[in-house]
Amino acid sequence: MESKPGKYEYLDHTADAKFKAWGKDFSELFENAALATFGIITDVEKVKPKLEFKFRVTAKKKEACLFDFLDHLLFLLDTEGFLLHSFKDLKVTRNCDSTFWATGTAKGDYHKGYDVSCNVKAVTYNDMYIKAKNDSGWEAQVVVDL
Amino acid sequence: MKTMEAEGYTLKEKKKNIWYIDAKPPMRVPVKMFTNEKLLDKVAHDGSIKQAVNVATLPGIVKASIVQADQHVGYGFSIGGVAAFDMNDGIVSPGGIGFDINCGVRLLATPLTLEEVRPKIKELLDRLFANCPVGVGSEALIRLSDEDYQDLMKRGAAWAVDKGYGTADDLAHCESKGCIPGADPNKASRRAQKRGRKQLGTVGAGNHFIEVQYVEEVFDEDVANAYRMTGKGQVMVMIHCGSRGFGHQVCTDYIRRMEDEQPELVAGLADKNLIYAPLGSEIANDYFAAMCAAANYAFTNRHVLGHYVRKSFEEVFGKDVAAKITTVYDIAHNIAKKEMHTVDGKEQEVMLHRKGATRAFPPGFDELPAEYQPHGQPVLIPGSMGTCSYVMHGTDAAMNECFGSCAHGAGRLMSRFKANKEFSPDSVTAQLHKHKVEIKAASRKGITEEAPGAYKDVDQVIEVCHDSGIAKKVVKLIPVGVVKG
Repeated sequence: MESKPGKYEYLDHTADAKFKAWGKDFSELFENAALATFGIITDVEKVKPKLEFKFRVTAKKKEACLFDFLDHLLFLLDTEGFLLHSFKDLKVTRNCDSTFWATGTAKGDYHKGYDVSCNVKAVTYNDMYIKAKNDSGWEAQVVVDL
Repeated sequence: MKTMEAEGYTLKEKKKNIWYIDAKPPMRVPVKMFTNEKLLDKVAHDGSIKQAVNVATLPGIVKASIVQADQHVGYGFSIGGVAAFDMNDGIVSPGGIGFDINCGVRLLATPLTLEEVRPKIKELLDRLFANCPVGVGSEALIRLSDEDYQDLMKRGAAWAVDKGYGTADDLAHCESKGCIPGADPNKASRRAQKRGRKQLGTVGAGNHFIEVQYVEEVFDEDVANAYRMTGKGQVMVMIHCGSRGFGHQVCTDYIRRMEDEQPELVAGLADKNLIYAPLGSEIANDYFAAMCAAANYAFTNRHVLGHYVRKSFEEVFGKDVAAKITTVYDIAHNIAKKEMHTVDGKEQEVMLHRKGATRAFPPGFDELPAEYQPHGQPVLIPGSMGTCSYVMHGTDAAMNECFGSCAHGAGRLMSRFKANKEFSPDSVTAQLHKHKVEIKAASRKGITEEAPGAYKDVDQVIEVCHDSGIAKKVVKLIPVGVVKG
């Protein structure tokens, strides 16, 4: 669990893990939130981008979209043994019916051979927010259940 | 009467080790905390008191929002939370159960003594590590057919006995006999089922473990004997895990569905994780049916792991020893159940939520095996990795004071982030070795995150339960070896 200045930062949380993530737009914000989530599980920078999984997540609110997006990556972890390295073409868009969409490809590797210290069980709504930063860009806060 | 201020509330100790926050609107009932000043000091500012107050505002809550001594901040409900809801105007809340549905503890009794096991502990841990998949991504050794999967979600651990895992005797020594009625696999999403598919009979990671322990101290010999424990030095095995990805996904799915289908309700919530559904509504019925399926998966998971433990002992100590390993009990500590309780002199069915709390039913409870009935239900309380654990027994006081419940563990004190900075895998392992505890872990980093120093002292929690009378001490268990993710 190493914070990456400007991208994400881990905060103190007694029982679980809490972080803030930043991005110039929703796409970058979601990307950094996902890297922070997998940073709890393993050293993301050591993961090789060997496997690819396409995803498409939709929700009515931006927080719900982030929740579902992270939840989907945890689903891949449990069902495919997938560890995240990075994304290709990650796009988070707001449709005209005001639903949020996150689409793209998650790149990473099968877990065997990596030091995986901890399991993230689930994303929570505890203290979760997404808000515009004063200067520019977005900030999200997430607590995940370990 | 002692009083204390915390998070803007006045706490009053009305009985020894029982602290109250009076009900003030929008609270519908008081908050009732089983704790002492020392434990309270540690959680006074972590947000868990505010969470207990939030729970007291929920519709149909009966008597009190109760918190056990291992209280710490959770999602929506605090850890250690116990809340009963009226079946007519109450609610069911996924956050009141937790993401790990039916996370729980199973305790096995072996015929061996510490002197027999200590010299072979490394070999035993190697076998346990090989036979019981642990760690993130570890895959089940069982391949489930569609029919098997449906069957185990409905019937719980009884499915496993039919398939040759464990015995009918194990089943009889299990909370709810290893199955909560009312499960409907169709109410658990395909994603939830897929997440659980390759995880049956696996431990997982985090604070989940298999620990080889021995009886260090006997507080009540009669009860200990009835609970299949022969005395000091007897080797026991404790399994701590839950419903794996299956339960996590069921909880996640229903939090989202309750949010999407009840936007008006979300708007009024102090915390989105308090999201609930009114009992009797379609969504409440669906969630309960899915939660029961996940709970049954968890009972089966621990039951199958019990089988792997027997296999491991067989490989080291032979068939005769393995055949003599029996189940003391298996308890759920993250669950909601329909239970009958006496409220103000009247029998009432309630939807009882236990979020990091153990059922602690009294003597005479008819679900218990005959030999346990005079003593009440065994209550299994694991300490943190490498420290001590306890077996207690349920009491009438628990029924009267807190819906037949007590604490479930030590409770975390230090974040994993801090633990990683504070300890190293080598320092923690060295500390465990000093206490003659061997460890076999899937991850080196996992060792520091679960360092004993990151947890509260379980002894304090036990004293509060014992002194307030809601559970009484039977034996104290000390680890010899730990297998973890």
